[in-house]
Amino acid sequence: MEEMSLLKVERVSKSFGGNRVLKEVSFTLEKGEILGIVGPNGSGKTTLLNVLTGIVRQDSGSVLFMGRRIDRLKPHQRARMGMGRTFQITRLFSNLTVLENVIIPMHYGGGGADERKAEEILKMVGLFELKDRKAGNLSLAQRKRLELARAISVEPKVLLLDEVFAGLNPVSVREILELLKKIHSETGVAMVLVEHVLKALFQITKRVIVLSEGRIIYEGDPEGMAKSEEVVKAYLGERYEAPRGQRS
Amino acid sequence: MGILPQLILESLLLGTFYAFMSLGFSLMWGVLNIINLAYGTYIILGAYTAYTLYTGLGVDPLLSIPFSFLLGLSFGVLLQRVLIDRVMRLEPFMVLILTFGLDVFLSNLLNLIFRADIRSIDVPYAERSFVIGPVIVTEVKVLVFFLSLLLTGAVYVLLQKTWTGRSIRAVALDREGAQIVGISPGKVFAVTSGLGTGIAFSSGNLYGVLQGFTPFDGGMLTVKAFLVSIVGGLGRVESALAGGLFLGFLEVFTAFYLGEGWKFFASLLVMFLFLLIRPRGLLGGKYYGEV
Amino acid sequence: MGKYERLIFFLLLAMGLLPPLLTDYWERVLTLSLMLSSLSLAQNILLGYTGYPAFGCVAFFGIGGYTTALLMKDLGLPFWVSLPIGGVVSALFALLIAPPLMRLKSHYFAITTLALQLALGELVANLEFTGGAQGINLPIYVGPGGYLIFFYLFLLLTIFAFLLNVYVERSTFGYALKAIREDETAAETMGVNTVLFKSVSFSMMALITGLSGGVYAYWITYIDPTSMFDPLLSVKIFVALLLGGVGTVAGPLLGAFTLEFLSEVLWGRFPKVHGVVLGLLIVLIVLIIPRGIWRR
Repeated sequence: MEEMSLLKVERVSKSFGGNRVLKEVSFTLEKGEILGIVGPNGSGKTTLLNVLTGIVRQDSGSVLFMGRRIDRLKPHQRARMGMGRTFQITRLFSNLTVLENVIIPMHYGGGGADERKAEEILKMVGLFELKDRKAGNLSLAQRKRLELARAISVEPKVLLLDEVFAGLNPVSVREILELLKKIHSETGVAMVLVEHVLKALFQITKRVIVLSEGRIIYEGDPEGMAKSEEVVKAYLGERYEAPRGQRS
Repeated sequence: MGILPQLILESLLLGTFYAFMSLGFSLMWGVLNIINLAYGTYIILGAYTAYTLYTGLGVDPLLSIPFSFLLGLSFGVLLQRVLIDRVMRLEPFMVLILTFGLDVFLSNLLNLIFRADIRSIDVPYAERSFVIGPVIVTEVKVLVFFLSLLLTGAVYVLLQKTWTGRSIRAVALDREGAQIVGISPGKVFAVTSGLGTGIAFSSGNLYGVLQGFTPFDGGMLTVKAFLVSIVGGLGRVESALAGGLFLGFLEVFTAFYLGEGWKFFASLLVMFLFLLIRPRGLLGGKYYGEV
Repeated sequence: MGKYERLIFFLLLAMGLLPPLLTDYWERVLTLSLMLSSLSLAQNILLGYTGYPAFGCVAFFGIGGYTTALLMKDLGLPFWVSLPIGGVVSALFALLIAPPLMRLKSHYFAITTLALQLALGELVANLEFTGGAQGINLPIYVGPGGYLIFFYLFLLLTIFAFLLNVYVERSTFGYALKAIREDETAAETMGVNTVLFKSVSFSMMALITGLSGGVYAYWITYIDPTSMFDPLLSVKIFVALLLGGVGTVAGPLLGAFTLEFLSEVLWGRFPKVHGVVLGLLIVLIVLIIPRGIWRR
């Protein structure tokens, strides 16, 4: 039997009120692979993640996860199948403690609530000392770490990370990068990183996809990306345009 | 078939009044994102104002409309500055409770002053009517129809052609964007609240001429204003007209075919279903619940 | 249960010893306070822990009350059978409408439930088998305990509602509700079946509220659409919650008793301006409550 891909996206399209945000996007992700998705603001990256996790439903096309079509599954069902996700603008349970933030996904998305294991995860991301603090009181870098902890607590097969490096200082970027490498080497989980900070991204991934106006315009290694004429055009074009709000 | 032209005419006349009556509610909801549960009682306050001026000084209720408007305007600005501004920063539903409390306060105050008896403004021309072919229509209804149309038109012009109107619309469309171009939302909120309350008060004059009223009729009028706003979509004059006509037809036809008792139920049912199925209204527009 | 939860629990139990010491007047005030307590505790599960303000929750008070009353009057069922059925009907109705209803949030959700409450009141007023606007007369309770039975019924209901609140506060079930309150999108991405948990939370509220309506119907022996679907009762529940503190197990009790006592004192002192003062009180409470309190 043919070895199946972990995640297979086939010709996915999505419009919001006449505005086509994704146009026939197709790609695959293999077990344990790390894939980067980059693109200018408004190119549809976050929408793509929302389609994968089921928050938004695509108009056409299909998503296969471990060989199974998941188009009709609700976000919580996909989480239980092994999808962990972080958000560009962190979405923590602000009035709950750091520990509770990890226990909830463990109980409902993962194998069951286990305080000891939750504490281990918090140690891994360096938040153990803050476990009884309210999540709303954390700094940005700490919030990003907690989002990561929450995402891995469901023991995912794929981690979908939406701009984990955004807004962080260089030191924090390096720390998160090391953390991701550690998570990858210890668990072998596949990762999709939607990213703006290319420098950090290129240190962890060998394959990138470039989205521009909802279309894939490049797929391959990071080195080739800078040489692609279309990619250069998409990015240079952006520089002269007024900044557009990103869909989230 | 014989009765149909009569029903349609009644619906049109009543619906146009409802459109004007609800404009203030729709504006406040669209621009400030508040659902003002005291709105119906504002209308009743207008009706009592007209009643007092008529019985005390003999001023015709249709002539005292500007006075009611100015009274409502000042009242609205004051309430916005003193009460609503403070609570708007909290969860939006806190404004619901606040305005409900305001409604309880105002309607009971009216009850204290005027007692709960039904009052009506018996203008000398109340009984006159026209007969046009198959339909009969009272002069009062026709007068109210034309005045509603005129005043709705005035609000339209105000919103479209003046700078005040443009800044109100800008804030309704995009609060942050309006701030960037130098519009102060605080000021626009006060103006909108004033305008909306002024509309409510002045529509009270018309309401008082159309039918009798008691201090506790406000709740029912709030529901009507709500229905008009949700059916058409928020904050636009065209939408209020569409919603008003919808309500006019709904009420007149339900009352005729099912009975007067089912009228209010029909409105509430439609309101409930609309919220459930299409919170953006028929004509689209803004829905704040997702943000 | 924590230490202070146990304290409240025993205080509630101790309230059961009070009746011999009470005059009829105070018995009535306490019974009303307990009714408001049960309703506020019910709403607390939904608003306090799940983050959904069902402003029209009295819809379920009416459903429970009318179901109980109709079963007794038309089918001749005893109160002890009718009451639980009333509660269950109310909860099932809630479970049925929750999935579409709870797609709405914040004041859209609040106002939709209010529309439901008013619509049901109008429906009941227009139907014949519900007694229309005239309402329904129920037999006066004669049996062990006399009218004190209603004091004890509301006390039991309050204790039940209180224990449910404690359960939500401390269980993993409660975690799901709190996650929804904090961030619904995040919650479902973390594996919480949000539609299910929201609906269950809504039904728990409806169950207690419906039972409360059933007890109330038999207590006052005469019910009509105005008294069973009263928007003023809705707002009292919310004001009690704001007053006491939303999202805590003690807050609803504290708020309900304070508001009912305050209301009684005002009623006694200024019977003529009661409505005016109540309205003013609501406005003042919303103004004075600092911004954070509605979510702890």
